[in-house]
Amino acid sequence: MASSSSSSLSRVVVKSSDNNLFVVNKKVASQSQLLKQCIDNMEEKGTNDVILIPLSNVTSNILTLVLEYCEKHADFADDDNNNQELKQWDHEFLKKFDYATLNSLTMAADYMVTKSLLNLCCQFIADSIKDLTVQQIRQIFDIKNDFTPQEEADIKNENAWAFR
Amino acid sequence: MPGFISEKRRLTESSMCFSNHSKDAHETRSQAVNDCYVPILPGLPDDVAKLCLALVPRTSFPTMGAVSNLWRSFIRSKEFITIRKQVGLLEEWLYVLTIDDEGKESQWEVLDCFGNRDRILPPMPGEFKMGFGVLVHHGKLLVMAGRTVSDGAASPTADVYQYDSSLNRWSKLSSMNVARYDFACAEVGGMIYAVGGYGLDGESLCSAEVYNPDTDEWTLIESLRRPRWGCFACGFEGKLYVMGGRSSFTIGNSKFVDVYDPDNHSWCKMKNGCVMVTTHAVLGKKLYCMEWKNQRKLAVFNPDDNSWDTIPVPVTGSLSIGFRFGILDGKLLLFSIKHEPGYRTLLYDPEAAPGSEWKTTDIKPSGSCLCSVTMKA
Repeated sequence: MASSSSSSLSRVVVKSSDNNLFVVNKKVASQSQLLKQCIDNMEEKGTNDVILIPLSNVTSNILTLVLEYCEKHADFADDDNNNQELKQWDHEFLKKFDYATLNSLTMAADYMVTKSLLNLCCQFIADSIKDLTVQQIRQIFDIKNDFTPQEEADIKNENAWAFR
Repeated sequence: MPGFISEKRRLTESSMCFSNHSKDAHETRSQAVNDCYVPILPGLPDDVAKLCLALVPRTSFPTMGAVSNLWRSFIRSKEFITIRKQVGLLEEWLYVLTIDDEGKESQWEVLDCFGNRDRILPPMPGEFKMGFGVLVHHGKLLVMAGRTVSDGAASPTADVYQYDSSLNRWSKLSSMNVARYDFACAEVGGMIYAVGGYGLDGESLCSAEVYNPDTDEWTLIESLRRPRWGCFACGFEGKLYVMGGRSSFTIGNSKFVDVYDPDNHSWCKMKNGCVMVTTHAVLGKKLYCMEWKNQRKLAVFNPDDNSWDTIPVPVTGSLSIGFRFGILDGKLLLFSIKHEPGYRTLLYDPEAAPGSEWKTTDIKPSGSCLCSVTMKA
């Protein structure tokens, strides 16, 4: 809880790994527990300066996406994750990314401790796994088939007993 | 609006927040890289990848289990169930073993939490058996030992099979040290115990053994002082209780309870058990039994003070109905042993307001019920 009188600044500056600076509304930044903790720590120290938070793991194109998400979600209450409009927005938001971008976004959400975005990304990846065949999963996620031919035959045999 | 900053202002860099955040995670991740590490999902840290896999609907598990060894072993792991539990995805299922009218063919039916028949398990491997032990452990159904009947002669087996609910597959585990049937089994503190029963040539057994699911090993433990068979067991507060059945020590049925304490590897006896139990189930912190001599009462054991209580069963229809217990959604279900078209399953809810604990339900296995267990997976 930041109660210091010097914490009048409503914005912070976030620096991406490729050294671009983003001015972010404090309420938006607080969607990330990492940023929120930084802000709280700095405010406890009673600084009057603009707070600069460097993120060594997040590039500016991914940071832009995370902040876009945070900005949207800052408009809704914490317990409003079931809001239909927000859900729709989340879905549209993630739909447009390729797998590499989705991966980077997931990692950024993990790193920046933006739990709702992390869960959203993981669920999105999970939902895409759901509709894939074994071959497609290996191809899309670049996973090596390390079964022996015998093991593979056994598994196929088992799975012939599909859920009925 | 987030955007690029254009003007120069006095900036104070926050440096402290990176020293502690997720440092451990990053260290373990980079260590793993050095050790010829294969990620579950390339590009993602394993803890995140595991969450992704755990969020996939269960119908895709067999497909996922066929992707790679790493995926397969993760889906079979305790951790997989644990993560699914954390994100609230565990569902409860009733596995009911039913048998046809000739008593020759049995099958496991799976009922969902509404009692709808969801599927039938692939057939149990091995010969047709009776007198085996059944229990559920971390999303796996274990079917242990028992006797096979060929040419009219009963022969005990030590085979143990496991059904993996995620992969929809049976596999064989390590066999018990002692082949046995009509024995007691229960889980205590993550370990699985098998006690007494009949062995070779129908000899009654006092031997007991414990299975460690993490190492797939059966180890003999301190034996009972006297052989005991036809008994059953349950675990409470880290202790194993073996009740019912018969013991060579007593004439008739044993009222004694053998209690095993895994911490000091020893057995002790308690006097007030119940006898001739036809079905039992643990619900909440209590043991519910049905005694052969009175099938219109539940005998309820409270391990806190080792006391017994009785609850009358509201009789419906034929007096000849015998019961098997099932547990679903914190409620005790009383299935009819025999296929009784007119019988509606009785449901006992211990949490309900006094007077309204009993209801009936449409949840019902399709045939005669041999036993049922509750699976959370």
